[in-house]
Amino acid sequence: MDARAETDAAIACRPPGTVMRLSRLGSFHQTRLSFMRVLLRRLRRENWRFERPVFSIDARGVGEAVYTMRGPDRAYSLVAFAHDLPPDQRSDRVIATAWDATFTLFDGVPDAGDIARLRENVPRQEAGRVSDRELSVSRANRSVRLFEHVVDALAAGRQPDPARVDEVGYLMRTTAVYGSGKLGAADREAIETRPEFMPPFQAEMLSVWLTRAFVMDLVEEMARHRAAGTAVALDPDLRRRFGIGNSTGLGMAPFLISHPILLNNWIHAREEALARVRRLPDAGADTVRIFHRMRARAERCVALWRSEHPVQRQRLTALAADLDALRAYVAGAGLSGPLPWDRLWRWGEAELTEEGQEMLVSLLLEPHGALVDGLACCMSAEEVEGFVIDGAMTVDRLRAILEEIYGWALEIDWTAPETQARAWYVSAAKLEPRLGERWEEDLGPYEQPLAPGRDAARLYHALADEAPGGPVAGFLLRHPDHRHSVRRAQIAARHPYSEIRDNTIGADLMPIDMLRAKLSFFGAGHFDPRSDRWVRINMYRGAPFPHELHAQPEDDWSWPRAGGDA
Amino acid sequence: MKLLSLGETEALVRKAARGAGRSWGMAEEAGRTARWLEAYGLPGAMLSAALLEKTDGAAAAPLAPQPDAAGVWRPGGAVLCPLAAGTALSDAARALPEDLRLGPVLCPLLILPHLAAAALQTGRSHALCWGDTRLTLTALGALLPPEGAWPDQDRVARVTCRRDVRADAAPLARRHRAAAAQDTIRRLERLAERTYAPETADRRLSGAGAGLTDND
Repeated sequence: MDARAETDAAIACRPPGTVMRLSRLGSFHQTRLSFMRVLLRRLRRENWRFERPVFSIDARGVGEAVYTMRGPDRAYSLVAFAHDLPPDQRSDRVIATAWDATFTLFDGVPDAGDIARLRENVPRQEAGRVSDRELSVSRANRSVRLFEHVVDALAAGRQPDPARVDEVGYLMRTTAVYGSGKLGAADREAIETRPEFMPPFQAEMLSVWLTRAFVMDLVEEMARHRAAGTAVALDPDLRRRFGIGNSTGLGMAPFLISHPILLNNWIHAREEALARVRRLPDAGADTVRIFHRMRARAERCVALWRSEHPVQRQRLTALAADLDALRAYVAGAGLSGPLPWDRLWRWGEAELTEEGQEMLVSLLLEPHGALVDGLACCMSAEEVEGFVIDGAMTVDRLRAILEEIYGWALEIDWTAPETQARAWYVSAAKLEPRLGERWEEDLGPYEQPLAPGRDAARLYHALADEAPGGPVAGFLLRHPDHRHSVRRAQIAARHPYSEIRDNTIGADLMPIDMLRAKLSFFGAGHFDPRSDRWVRINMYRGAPFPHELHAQPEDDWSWPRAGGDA
Repeated sequence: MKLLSLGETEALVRKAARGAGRSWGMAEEAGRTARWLEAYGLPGAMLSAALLEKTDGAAAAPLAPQPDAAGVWRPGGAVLCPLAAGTALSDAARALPEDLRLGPVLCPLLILPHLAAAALQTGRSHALCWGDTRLTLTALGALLPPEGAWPDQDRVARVTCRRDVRADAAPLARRHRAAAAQDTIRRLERLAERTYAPETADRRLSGAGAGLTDND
């Protein structure tokens, strides 16, 4: 074995048993591979151009707008409808029926007929219907705390208070972004071969980025209507400090379980990126400089991060201490010598909290775009490829897979009430996933298949009396109840990061861990849990706006600038 | 007719199958089956509604195939379920005889996507034959134009699955929309509704985790 091969073998991706725990998934931060960053890098490199063919907003902030991005082959347009919502109707809950603004991402540039059709449907959200010309449907509510302050200040000819801007971080929160076939929109299958949509969630991320731009234009326009003589626009640097908020509830949590191959590909890309960096034989002066700059920005990021949630507050305190320790470590040990990044990583694994370790993953990736950015193209998945069951697999082999992947679940006594304290179900009222107390409500008949560990344990016990050499096909013919678990186990055998290796129905489950994992891959920051099952985040904070994308440095926005930072 | 996305079609049929008493794994198969057929412009949603109503709440074993002495797949009860037969075909893809007779089976067109899965697994063409009709799947699982008339689909039939048939025509085009009659959608929704937990005041408050204010 040559030296390079030896290094590669010694520095492998972290094992799934380490990565796929809920507490760790719930400690993830955005990285270079996050979908917002992937999108903006592409738009910039491919020289996408911004146009605003429609912008018609009145003094109350009511009206319509169209925001178009034009790429080498195609254009996409955010069609926005702004409303005047009475405060008592404003709710982030998915059960709301009215919003401050509603949106759709249109495939192309809409004509008057398209806009008329969308005007009848998009403001109604779930009660409306879109077509395969639309790629997403979403809505947003104002942040009462900040919106009026900004309009008032601008109308009076002043800039808003930067401290208040940083405190809240956004003027509107999206409360749902529906993509892929929802409400009649185009299926992902119909657009996934377009290069711009090959990485996951690019249409949704584009829609959110354009939404942020619309919201900023909206407040400036309202200020002008209010006081045409005195109103000013936002200072461009301050303007970029506004992200777009998002409030996410349980609806998102089951996604990670119901898309196992996609989850695997996200995690695998991130782990492969980490391993590549750790294998680098040395650290060049440029990469070291970038690392230090990003480390300082990470400190700033944590300093700006607000949460009222007691658990998250504790974690932030610990994370700040982790970053102090990191600063001291690199100041002392430096990044010279062989395999410097691996040495740093091993130190971090031993010394930092999970939040700190996962932030170190993000930081290690930062200076190494050329090495890791290409992995973004491996992060989509064709779930259908995992759908077909290999019925020729022997019972023995299936049993061995179950022991390897679900060993943790086979050790749980599933008759103990707390191990199954929760049940995922869908409510008749809103058709949204929820989490209930299994033993207090009669939820058994309505339980969704979102407890892979328990179900794998059931399968394992059902296999006890089967002939070891017999085919799985024969077992499934007699036991169709286990078909779902056999499929998952076979997927997990090929895709090591496809399965969360924790109990998703236990009494101590924190659903926000699942939300955060997914949102970190989107590129969100500033996780602010509002309970154990919904979380607020900030997206695109610091990012360039569409009109200035090409005037700003590439992919240099996702950590807040620290003092003295160029 | 109402146009649905393929994702909506799959989700609706999956929930309807679960509502009709199928296991989650079989319900997933039902959803995929309807999606596959609709992508070829075939009435996957309508046939699914017919099948699920006819087999609503039925035990699995009588609907599942059992090979007889001559190797013919016969139902444990009176008639085969095409999803049970289809998944069994796909599961046993590598062990199938060249000619496999099975039946009587409900809505036989619903077997077709599973035979496509068998073709993909084995890399060999397959055909579903009944009466004068032959529906051929290429070794890549793509559907060719039918030989003979499209069968009377919502009916019990005896069919033959044949391997290594000629498959040199151009496959049918696929599309990204499903078309279903309002009545079909209503029938599927009626079954799907059984999977939803009735709303109670407690559930509304606790289930989604409301707590802190969400209007600030």
